[in-house]
Amino acid sequence: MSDRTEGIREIARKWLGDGTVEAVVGWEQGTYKDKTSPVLIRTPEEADRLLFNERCTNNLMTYLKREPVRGMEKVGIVAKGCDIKALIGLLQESQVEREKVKVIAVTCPGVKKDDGTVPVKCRACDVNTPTFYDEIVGEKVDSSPEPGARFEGLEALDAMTPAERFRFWRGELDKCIRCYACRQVCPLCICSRCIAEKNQPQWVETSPHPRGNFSWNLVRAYHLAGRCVECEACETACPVNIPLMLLNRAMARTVKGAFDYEAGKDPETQPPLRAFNLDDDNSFIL
Amino acid sequence: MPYMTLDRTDLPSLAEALAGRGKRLVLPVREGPELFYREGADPAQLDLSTIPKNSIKEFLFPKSEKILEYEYTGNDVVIDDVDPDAGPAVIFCARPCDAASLPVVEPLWNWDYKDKFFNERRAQTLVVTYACRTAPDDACFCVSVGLSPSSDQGSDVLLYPVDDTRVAVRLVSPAGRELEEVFSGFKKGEVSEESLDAFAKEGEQSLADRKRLDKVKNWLEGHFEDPLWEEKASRCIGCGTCTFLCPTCHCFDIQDESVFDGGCRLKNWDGCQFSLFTLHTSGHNPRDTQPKRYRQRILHKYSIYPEKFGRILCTGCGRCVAHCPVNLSLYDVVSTAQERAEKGE
Repeated sequence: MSDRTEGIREIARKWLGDGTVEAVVGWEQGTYKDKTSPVLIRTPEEADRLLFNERCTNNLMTYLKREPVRGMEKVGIVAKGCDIKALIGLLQESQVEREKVKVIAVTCPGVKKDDGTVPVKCRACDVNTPTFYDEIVGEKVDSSPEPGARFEGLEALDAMTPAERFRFWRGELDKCIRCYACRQVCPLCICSRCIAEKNQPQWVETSPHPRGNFSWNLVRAYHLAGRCVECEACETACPVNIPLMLLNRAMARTVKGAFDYEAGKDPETQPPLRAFNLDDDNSFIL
Repeated sequence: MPYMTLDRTDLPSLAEALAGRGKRLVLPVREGPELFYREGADPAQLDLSTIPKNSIKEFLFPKSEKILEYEYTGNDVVIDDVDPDAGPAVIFCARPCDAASLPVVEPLWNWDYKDKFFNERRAQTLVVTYACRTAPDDACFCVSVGLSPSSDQGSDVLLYPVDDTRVAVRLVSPAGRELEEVFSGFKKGEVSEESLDAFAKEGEQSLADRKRLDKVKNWLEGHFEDPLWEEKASRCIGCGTCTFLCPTCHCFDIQDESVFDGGCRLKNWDGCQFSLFTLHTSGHNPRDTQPKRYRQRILHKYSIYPEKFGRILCTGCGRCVAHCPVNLSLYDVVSTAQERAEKGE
């Protein structure tokens, strides 16, 4: 993948040198095992810190929502196809201006998790070669999403009775410690003040007890329904290993079934739960 | 003085014997790719292959704990004190960095106010520690903060896995020595004191490349404003992973939860990396950016707490290094500070 690394550095150097962007958000070598770490590069000389390899798991689009990147006039950002889906979501919702963000897309044969396994998103990937970008590096990689991979794990939940399903989630959500890593890494958790942080009135109990944890995790899942691009950042970050993607993919499957819509595909469309059309199907109400 | 050894395969039975009837038993078990300390887990599932992802903190300072109840009667509020939901407990095969966190935080819980919730749990908890033969993870840096892979601080009993089959037992505290009979019931042989010294040396050797962090406090005191904070911590996403996995982080939030005619007051984990942590009612936030919040975390651990309580608020367990979602390594930051101090920068 070194040619990708070289390609990224070359473009970053050029953009930082000629003032196209103020900074480039990319990955650099981390300090723990083979992990990489997000980095903000501000000068052409620093561009050699950037790299791409199969451990570039972080979705860097999350930095678009926070300082100092948020306040910049123009920023470059390195992105895999799955990360670009999040950018499309942000564009649809007017959270960033297209002119502000210059995308260095990188073709990607798939990444690896900390334990060496391949994430579901890579087995189900349909964007190994991104189609939405300003510059692209790397050889073309054909996509061959593994049939059924995306929603695997949901069958087991479907087969449960509601009581069994409740017990399953009760067990999983009991583990939640309310560190909010899921929200903080999520590129599409865009609220500048999350409902979990509002206390006048307090809508969501902040206590990590079963009631508070159900409130928080379900509110987040609902807010991401039809918006989540399945980048798996939340599940990867979760320090107590809650299978958050089962929630998110169950939502995505429902939205697909009800509205034939998939998040992060087309910047010209709108996520169904934030748009209204007179000819929307009302049969479920009337 | 020789020390008794047990068979490693007897550890689950030993755990059960120590817990006896009615004691809570906490031990590390595997869940998916990682280990977690769990209360009530089956001792047969005991897994000692690496350091657990959570610390033992939650068994002394739970993530959410009821500290009082109240009822509204007419125009009055009646407050009922509640006792800690504690009871005798055994933490079996804690790692030395976890056990060592207890004497680090005890002064905090007994400073201007004696926290009966922590103290009661602490008094009733027996800590049986499993020493690390070599550093179990790349993130470990206990030697940097004056501890070691076989440190006995905070432990009642220290178990040394001297080889693949035998575990040597050292009864450390009076509470540990009282249990001599239980341990003797599993005795299979003996090892010399020298072999435990050799064990300890091997553990320290495995961390020989870690820096001593003895100049960090000095450096921090002169570098409240420094480009380092922006350089390292602009990647911080402001979650609570590092603080909540940390065995020594102890900040909490008070929440009142009411229903109709009364409610309860809860003490919940809180973390300095959250933007709300220092947000004033006026809307002003003295730590208004992530690098400032990250600086606070480092200052508290390596300067403010040592100043006040004489100990670094860190045991080098490395969880904040290994599990940070963006690989912002505390060790990287403090060892950089140490390097700069050594160079006189």
